[in-house]
Amino acid sequence: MRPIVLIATNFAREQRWPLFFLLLWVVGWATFGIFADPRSGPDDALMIFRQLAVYSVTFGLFFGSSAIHSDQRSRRILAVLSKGISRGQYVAGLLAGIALVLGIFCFCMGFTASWLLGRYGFSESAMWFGMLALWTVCTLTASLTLLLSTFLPPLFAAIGAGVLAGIPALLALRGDTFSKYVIPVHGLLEPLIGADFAESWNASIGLVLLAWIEVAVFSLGAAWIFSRRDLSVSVE
Amino acid sequence: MALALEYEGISKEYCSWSRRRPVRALQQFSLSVERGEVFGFLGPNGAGKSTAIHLAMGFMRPTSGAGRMLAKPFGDAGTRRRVGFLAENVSLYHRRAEAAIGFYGGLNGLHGPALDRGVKSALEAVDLHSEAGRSVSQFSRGMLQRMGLAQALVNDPELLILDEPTSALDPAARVSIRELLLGFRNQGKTIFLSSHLLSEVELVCDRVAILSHGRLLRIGTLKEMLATTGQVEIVAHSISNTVFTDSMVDGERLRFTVPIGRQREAIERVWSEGGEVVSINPVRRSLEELFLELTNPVPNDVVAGESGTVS
Ligand SMILES: Nc1ncnc2c1ncn2[C@@H]1O[C@H](COP(=O)(O)OP(=O)(O)OP(=O)(O)O)[C@@H](O)[C@H]1O
Ligand SMILES: [Mg+2]
Repeated sequence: MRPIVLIATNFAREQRWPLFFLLLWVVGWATFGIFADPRSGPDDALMIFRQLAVYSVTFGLFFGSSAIHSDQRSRRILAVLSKGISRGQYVAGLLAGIALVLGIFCFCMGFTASWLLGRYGFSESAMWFGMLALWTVCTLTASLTLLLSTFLPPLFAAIGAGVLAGIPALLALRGDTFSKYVIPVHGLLEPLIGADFAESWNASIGLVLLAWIEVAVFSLGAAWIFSRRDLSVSVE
Repeated sequence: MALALEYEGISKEYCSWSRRRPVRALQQFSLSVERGEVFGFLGPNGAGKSTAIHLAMGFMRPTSGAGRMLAKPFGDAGTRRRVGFLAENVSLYHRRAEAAIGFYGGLNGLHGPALDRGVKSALEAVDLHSEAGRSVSQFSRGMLQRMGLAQALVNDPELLILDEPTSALDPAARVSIRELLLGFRNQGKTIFLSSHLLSEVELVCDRVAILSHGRLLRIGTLKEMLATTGQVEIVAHSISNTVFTDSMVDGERLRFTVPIGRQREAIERVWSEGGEVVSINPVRRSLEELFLELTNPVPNDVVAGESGTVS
């Protein structure tokens, strides 16, 4: 367990600058909230909120697709995997690191949202549930990308994950019930993205749990494939 | 004696979608390294040294054949805890030196006071304790290489696998690393070291293997390998330098080499010319000469004029 925690915190540390820039957006949003007139309605605040949600998913795809590759390109993976850890622990550490970075972002976003959107009458608990759903979606798509990145170049892994997560979402959008449960991006994000005051935000907790089970399955798959592959470090 | 490393008929081919023919990095490669020895692994660029080392560390799998490290199949994570590895062109996360070594020690299961001790002694061993608070990103190439060695030493390994450990070091650092390695050997640990610095290898290694194009050319103790030139050097005085071709005048003396089989004939020739033999010594070649001879075999007709032939 300790190696996983070490790799995760090390990953988060390595990604401090991307995280910092993501958080700048949240600060910008909060600043907007300070100066916006509460009587003018929530539309602008909600728009920024949705934008941030999309960014966090995009960053999840980015982290997932590049985590293993950048360690290989920089040759840093050699010193890590020369230690007494398995490839599975390494993959789990990276995924935990990605979840940690995205978790910090979603927490800060939730913190700002509960104050900013709270002024327009949103339920705070629903808001935090929405953040949990967003964090889950980000980690889910990141784990799928990480799985694909074990055998595809980063760009293809990101595109592939986008397509694989997008197809069930599109089918679910057209009313297919089964697709709702296959990589449940749509089911989890729908209440969040479509949020307005008429509806309450309620992603089902069952979907969240299902998504985390899928995260576990994807990371096991990633570990299984990565343990069977040769490292391709750059020669330099 | 138990073996530290064992390669059994290993072949490794690198395949890729873009290449039609796979690159054969190792072909039917077999090698055994005993525990407690310092083993030099030599070969020209592209010979397959790093490939062989990466296979042992489990970074990749052989195309065919198998191997064992400390009696466990290659790639066993638990065994790697007892091994220290330094890659060529080492690259580490950009953290403070102390934190970086702590991170690698932690990955090897060290924690608490044992980890602190490991970090301290590893940094001291490579003479970087005074830089413990500086970020690795500001280190020079030689300092980085020493950091690489420190992360390999942090868990006090039984087996050290070093891929060109001193290529970027200044002479003083090279001497101190050499002493460190010899100290390691005195503690009964095994060192498997690939290097192009043949003079270094000559100073520290017990046995060496020379690899070229993925095949093992020669393996043996340095003593055996370097003594077998088949030539002796004869020093004589009171004799004209025209008697032996390719002889060297050294003050009053004449120096020349002859094949061992013609040693008697040469000595009798010295006497018959009225000279005296001062010394006769077998010629030890340098590792560099042996290396060049094995890895760049020169066509026979070029070496026709052998030195020291009796005219
Ligand atoms: N990832 C790779 N993909 C394709 N070919 C490779 C790869 N890595 C190494 N090779 C090839 O395998 C052969 C052996 O390479 P290797 O790096 O093991 O040599 P080496 O003996 O360590 O050389 P050097 O002394 O230059 O470090 C070379 O022909 C090299 O081009
Ligand atoms: Mg090499």
